[in-house]
Amino acid sequence: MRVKRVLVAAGMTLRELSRGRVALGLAAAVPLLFFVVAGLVSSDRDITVRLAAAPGADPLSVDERAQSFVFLAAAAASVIGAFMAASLVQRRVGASRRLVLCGYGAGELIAAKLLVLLGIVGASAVYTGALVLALVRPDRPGGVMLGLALSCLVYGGYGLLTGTLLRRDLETVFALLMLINVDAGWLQNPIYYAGSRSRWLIESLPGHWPAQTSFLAAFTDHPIHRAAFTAAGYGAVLILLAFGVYSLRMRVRR
Amino acid sequence: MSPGSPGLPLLEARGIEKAYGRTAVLRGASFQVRPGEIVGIVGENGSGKSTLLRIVAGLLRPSGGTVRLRGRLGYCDQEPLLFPLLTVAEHFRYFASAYGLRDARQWQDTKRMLLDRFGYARWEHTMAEHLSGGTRQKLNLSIALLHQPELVVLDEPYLAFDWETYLRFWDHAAELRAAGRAVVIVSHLAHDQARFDRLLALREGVLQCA
Repeated sequence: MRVKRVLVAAGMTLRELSRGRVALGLAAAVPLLFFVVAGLVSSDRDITVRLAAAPGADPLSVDERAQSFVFLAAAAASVIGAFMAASLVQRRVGASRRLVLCGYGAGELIAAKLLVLLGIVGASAVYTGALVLALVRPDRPGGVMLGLALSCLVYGGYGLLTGTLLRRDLETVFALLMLINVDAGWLQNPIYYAGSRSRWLIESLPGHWPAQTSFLAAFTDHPIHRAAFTAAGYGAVLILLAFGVYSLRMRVRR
Repeated sequence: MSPGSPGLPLLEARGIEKAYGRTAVLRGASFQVRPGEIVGIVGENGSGKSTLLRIVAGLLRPSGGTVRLRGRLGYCDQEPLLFPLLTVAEHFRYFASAYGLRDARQWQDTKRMLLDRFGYARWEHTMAEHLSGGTRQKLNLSIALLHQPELVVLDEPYLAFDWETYLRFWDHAAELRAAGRAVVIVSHLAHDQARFDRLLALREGVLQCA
């Protein structure tokens, strides 16, 4: 693997991403839209929630609007990560295989895409984090940002996997929306957790540990490292699986 | 012995078989290409010409048979395999990196020659999605030629070319032949046929001299 070739591929991928201005604009609009809706429909009352990552702790009393902003920031980071990651691997498959035929190693293209994905994760965490910090005063802002980065990373892994397994845009849109809606957009809201009859289902979904990281950091002084490491592990497994499938799709005989 | 030495074929395909499900497309196609040859492959639509070239290039795995290549290969698919949001110049840069071309001056000279020869230098900084079909095809072909390969395998490379570019393409092919390189072209055009040193017809999955 040559570092220079990886950097060239990462640079070209970034250029392509940066030229999809409508897509970038829509990605930037996702958290704004979520926050506007949450600001309009949520109330100032305190609600009682229980966090899965703090099992022994007393139920928390938190401001409903602040809780909604943190929850929706994680959902927005998940949406951005999933769709942008899927586009990294699903589009231009023929041209990418041509690059491999001409001499690129599949591993070099994968390393380039991983670099770009990490850039997306960082940018998404800073952007959604800055928006949420403008609206909420969390106990540990850095932990909230970390949770948002992990939401983007884990769903980035899911987006990569979906994008490598499915070949058409519409199939990918449905596959991504189904899980993101049910998981990051619904079940990871802590108000559903306390009364759930199937907590194992909520805890096994990809959005769980990243969201828990953000909630713990925003509303408690409970350590976040276990939730953060579990989320990072979840994301790493998804990314490894995705790139395994991608390298099979890139196979050529030289 | 260098890849272009007389006598040794640059390409040997033996007994190539390929089936899609129960439909056999290639049933033991065999051919050789020697340095300094321009070989044409003709056949009806769906006869397996593109499949054969994709197998030769390494994009498809044959169900049976072997392909042996000597020297560098340049491959141009009939469908332009490009990145729509990258410019022409960025494509050259990207594929120069893929080919491992370290001498920037040399590949930049080749790029300039290809841009001038095929008449699309003014589109150098235009994104591929904004190019006409013919210009995309010129870029598709130029990428296959950028590393100055010994063997060039082209699948209907000039269908969208204007007449002048079409003639320039054949001038370029003649220069490659004179330099001891070889060119394999899938063609549908009847008036091409006098330009080939050998013409092979793909019928019922087998190659025959036409």
